[in-house]
Amino acid sequence: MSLEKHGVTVPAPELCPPLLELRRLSKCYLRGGWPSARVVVKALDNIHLTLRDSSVLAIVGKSGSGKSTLARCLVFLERPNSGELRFEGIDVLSLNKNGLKAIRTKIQLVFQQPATAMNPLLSALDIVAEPLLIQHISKRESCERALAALEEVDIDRASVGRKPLDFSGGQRQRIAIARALILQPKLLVLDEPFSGLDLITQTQIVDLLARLRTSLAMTFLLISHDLCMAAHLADTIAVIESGRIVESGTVASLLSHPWRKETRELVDSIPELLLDPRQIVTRRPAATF
Amino acid sequence: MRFLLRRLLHSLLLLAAASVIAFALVNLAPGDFYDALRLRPEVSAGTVAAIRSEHGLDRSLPEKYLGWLRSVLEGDWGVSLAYNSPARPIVWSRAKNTLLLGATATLLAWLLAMPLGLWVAAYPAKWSNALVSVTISILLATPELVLALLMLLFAVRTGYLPAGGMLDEAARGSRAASLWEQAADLTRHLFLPTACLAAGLLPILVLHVRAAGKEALASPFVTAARAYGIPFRRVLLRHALPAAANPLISLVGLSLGLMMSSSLVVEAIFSWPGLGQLMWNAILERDFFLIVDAVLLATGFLIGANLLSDLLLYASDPRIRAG
Repeated sequence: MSLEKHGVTVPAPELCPPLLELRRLSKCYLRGGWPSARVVVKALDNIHLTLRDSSVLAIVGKSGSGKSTLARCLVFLERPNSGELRFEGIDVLSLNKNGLKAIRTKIQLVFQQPATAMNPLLSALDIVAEPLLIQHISKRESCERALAALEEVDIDRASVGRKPLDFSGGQRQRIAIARALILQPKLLVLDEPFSGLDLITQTQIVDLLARLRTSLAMTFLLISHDLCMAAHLADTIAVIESGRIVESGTVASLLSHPWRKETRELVDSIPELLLDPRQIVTRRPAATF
Repeated sequence: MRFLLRRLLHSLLLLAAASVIAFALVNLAPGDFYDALRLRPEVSAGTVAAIRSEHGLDRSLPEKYLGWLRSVLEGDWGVSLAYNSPARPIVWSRAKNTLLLGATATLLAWLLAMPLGLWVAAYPAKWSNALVSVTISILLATPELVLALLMLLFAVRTGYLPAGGMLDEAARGSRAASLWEQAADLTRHLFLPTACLAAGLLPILVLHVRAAGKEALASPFVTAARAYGIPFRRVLLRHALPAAANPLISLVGLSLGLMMSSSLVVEAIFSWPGLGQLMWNAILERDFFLIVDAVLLATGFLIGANLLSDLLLYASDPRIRAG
């Protein structure tokens, strides 16, 4: 049994092993300087999430809801306080440094602000080739593969020697995507990939991601406050509020029957011109909560 | 090229302004080199006046300044009244020693400060960080004079290192002493004054390197590099260090300037035959042109060091090259 979607044949959920599993994942921060004035802030609170191979899950929520903390936990920039994080069945949080090193290449993150997430002193080619160089791949091969990756995201060869700040916002986002894809990860976490871009560029990035998904059969975890853009790309959407996933479902069901107040607010914020819920194709649930 | 010419022009103007100020201030100081002669009954007032007139000390300030300027252009840099010879060879031979001491101490301080500062910035939670912080605080709180006297005491009590001077008489006088022996002797003499100067500069540099390193390590692109699995050492050296370079390059000139001013005290304590000692003696003897020349040479070093910083910044930062 299989479903045809975006031109990719995806195995049915029950046959597909989960790529990523989060169980009761929590992350707290201490805020305030003096010990007596310190407050515990729960950025993530008992997150349950299962993501299957070759699917796209969008985590949508308002600013400060814990979306970026989740992204940082997934790429091991933050260590959760409790819970389980399994990738391909491996309990990632119990791994040592060397074990994590092997997993890191399989999960890549596209940062929220590509302008600041790339070293301004390096060229686009150097930025994209660096992850290969540290894998002990020869410089020549790294450059060739980086050039190919940049061409894949529509950055022409003539401009690969330029520094990140010489590119436009959309081009920088493409370079960031190329860098994340160069190691052929299994899971690509996209943290607000459309923020700071105009509508046309946002659409171009959505098209690019859809094309990459088709050609590379990749799994995306899209983090965004923009439900409209998320709906164009995702199979499943989860709404996060105060560190908790409060509602989830397929794109069509969530847009047509939002039952939580937070979700209704997000749906209401979409201009009708941009998204008609009736046009959203009913897709299989790619993630469970 | 335009940037270089502009900076050179700035430097020349600064040097000219410093020469005017130095001349005016030295001239304002009461008395001159021949005041001691007036106290001797066998020398008549007329003789003293004639000698003063011969060396141009009775002229007005602008005349004196123009006379000195002419002498600079001729290559004499005025006349040392105490040595009774052109000032340039005297000042220049001492300046080379000061430059050797200052440059060695600056280099040593930077070589220690860079890894220490980066270490403290990269591993703020380690116990070694606390140790470095305490050491820095102690060094910052210790006046250079006390540090130099302690080192001098160590040298005198133990006899491991020479307590002063630049070369032993044996090494200086003997033609048989090889270049290697002379270099070894110079290194032994250089050790304590260099250590004292470097210890004075080190805490300031470590604090600056730590601040710049911390800021660079908190940059989003460094976080991104870590998320991409780039090893921390590479992140530190390839990403954070170049990002932290600009404020540190600017500090190179300042550190050399600090070193020049600190060396005045250290040279006097360790009897290092440098510009500081020469200037000190010249001030005591009211050797007019020698004071001005020494002050201007020290200013020239500072301006040169800042020019070097600017050129390094120009080479390292494309934003400055773009204007």
